[in-house]
Amino acid sequence: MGYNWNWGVLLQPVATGEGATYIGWILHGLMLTAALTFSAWLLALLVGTCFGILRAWPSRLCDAIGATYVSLFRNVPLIVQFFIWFFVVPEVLPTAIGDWIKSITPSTQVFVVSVLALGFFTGARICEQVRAGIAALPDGQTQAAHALGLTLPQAFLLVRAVPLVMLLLWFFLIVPQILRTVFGLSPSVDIRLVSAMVAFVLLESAFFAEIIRAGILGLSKGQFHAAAALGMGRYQAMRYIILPQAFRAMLPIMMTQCIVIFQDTSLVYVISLGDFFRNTVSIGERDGTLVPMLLLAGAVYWVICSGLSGLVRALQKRTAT
Amino acid sequence: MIELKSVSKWYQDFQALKDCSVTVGKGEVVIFCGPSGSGKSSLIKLVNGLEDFQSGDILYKGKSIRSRDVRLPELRRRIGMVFQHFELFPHLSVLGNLTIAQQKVLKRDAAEAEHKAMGLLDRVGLRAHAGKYPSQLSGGQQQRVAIARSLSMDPEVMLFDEPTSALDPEMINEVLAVMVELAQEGMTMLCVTHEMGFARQVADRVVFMDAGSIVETGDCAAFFVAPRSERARDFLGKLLR
Ligand SMILES: Nc1ncnc2c1ncn2[C@@H]1O[C@H](COP(=O)(O)OP(=O)(O)OP(=O)(O)O)[C@@H](O)[C@H]1O
Ligand SMILES: [Mg+2]
Repeated sequence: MGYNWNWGVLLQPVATGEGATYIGWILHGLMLTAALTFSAWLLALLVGTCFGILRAWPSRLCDAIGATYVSLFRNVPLIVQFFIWFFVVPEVLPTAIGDWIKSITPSTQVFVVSVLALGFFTGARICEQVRAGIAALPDGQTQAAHALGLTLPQAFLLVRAVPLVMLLLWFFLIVPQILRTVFGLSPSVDIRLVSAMVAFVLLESAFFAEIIRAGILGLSKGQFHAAAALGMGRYQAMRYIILPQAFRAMLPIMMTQCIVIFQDTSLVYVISLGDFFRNTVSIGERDGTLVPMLLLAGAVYWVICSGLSGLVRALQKRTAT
Repeated sequence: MIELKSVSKWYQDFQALKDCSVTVGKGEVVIFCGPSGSGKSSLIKLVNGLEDFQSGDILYKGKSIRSRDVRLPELRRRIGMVFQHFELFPHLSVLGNLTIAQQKVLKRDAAEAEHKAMGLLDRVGLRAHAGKYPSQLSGGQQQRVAIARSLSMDPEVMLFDEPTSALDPEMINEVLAVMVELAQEGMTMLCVTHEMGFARQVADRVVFMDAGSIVETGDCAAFFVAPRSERARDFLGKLLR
């Protein structure tokens, strides 16, 4: 492979001096990741539960407030939210508070911003679970417990945002080496897009596998028995009886996952792939118009994603009957 | 036609069936009854291999269903089964429910399968509902579709596992009427049911089960008039009250 791996660098001192090594730096980052994940998860649970209760409250206004929160924070990609919390929020707050925020040490500032962004983003998803949990209550305790139990996977959703960045970087570094070796490509061929695709496909297919598994397990044993009793083999039962039902039940979730992927694509920012988001930011940086550009990016994601969400809801209504 | 020879079955370490032996001849109608949890469903599902057993043997037309050259799907398409909760395929229309296995398992062409299906729907009085989906039918109608679906495979034997116990009382008779007709045409039937009126009308024999064992097997008339075992007397007493 043409790449010059230099793991030794990990043990070398950081270029800025201060006596730290690169590995220490990475471990420090890992600690920060853990702290970030945990803090944001707590915040998400808290915020999500509050808004979820609001949404289930028998009052139009409360429901509308909750719905607005969910719509805003669910339909704008996480990384756009990071940028907005970081660059835009201090500007629009009253000058005194804005100045005070800017006076905090930068590292604390970034940490707080990250927790806020992750917390509110994931909170929007948890909110919906809580609402579903409350709505299901009259229909029986089990359903409610089940729906509330779903808040746990939300924690994974949160953790996931970090590994996806890792995956992207890994594939950006490793896949090109393999492809170049196997296909003898010249180093000038740009394969960032392929790297990104591989990372996304691997990650999302793992999710879909779980979704479909749940869909199949959700079918009663009776359907398997009925298919078998008619003389269908395993393959036939799967193909004609089980999967059509599982897919139908899972379609809304699969489409929702698709919206999540759409938002997560903005993470290719980290490998300098010029997607919509990165280019918008580049323009903002070049022209000194970062604030309006970030707001524009958020608005565009919101319009597209909430449109798609509306489609999913319509579909859900149709399959429910 | 079907012979169970001292069959025992365990779910993990719980013994659900103990040494059960029953013989069902061609054209016979045998009723299985007994308290909840006595193993009726487990026993009847052994016959078409939906559940397996650990000791004993089951012969179908004189041949062990465990012998190497018996393929389970092949066996099952000869044995129809009707379930307590109907188990119609919700994503298929009534007609689709009746044709899918004919086409995919028996390889009948679409026209032939449809012709057969419509004939059977006529027979259970549901021709007008062919285009509907299962969720649009009443429980009694769904169960009649389920019976028609089994019959579409031209079975040699029919298994019924409490076919009317999930139905409202006013719908029970429409399902029993179809079953009586089947019995009178000479179908071999194994029925788990507590419908004693139905049993009296068509059953050749009654098998009474309790706690995984066959307690009593008897001629239908004799069983109802004078059950030999204490437990059967108890059970019948509760049923009639
Ligand atoms: N999959 C299973 N795993 C473990 N135990 C089981 C399983 N299925 C049935 N059993 C147990 O085996 C026993 C017999 O069950 P079975 O369903 O055959 O009874 P049944 O006579 O059909 O009862 P019912 O009238 O309630 O339908 C019961 O005690 C039941 O708890
Ligand atoms: Mg049963």
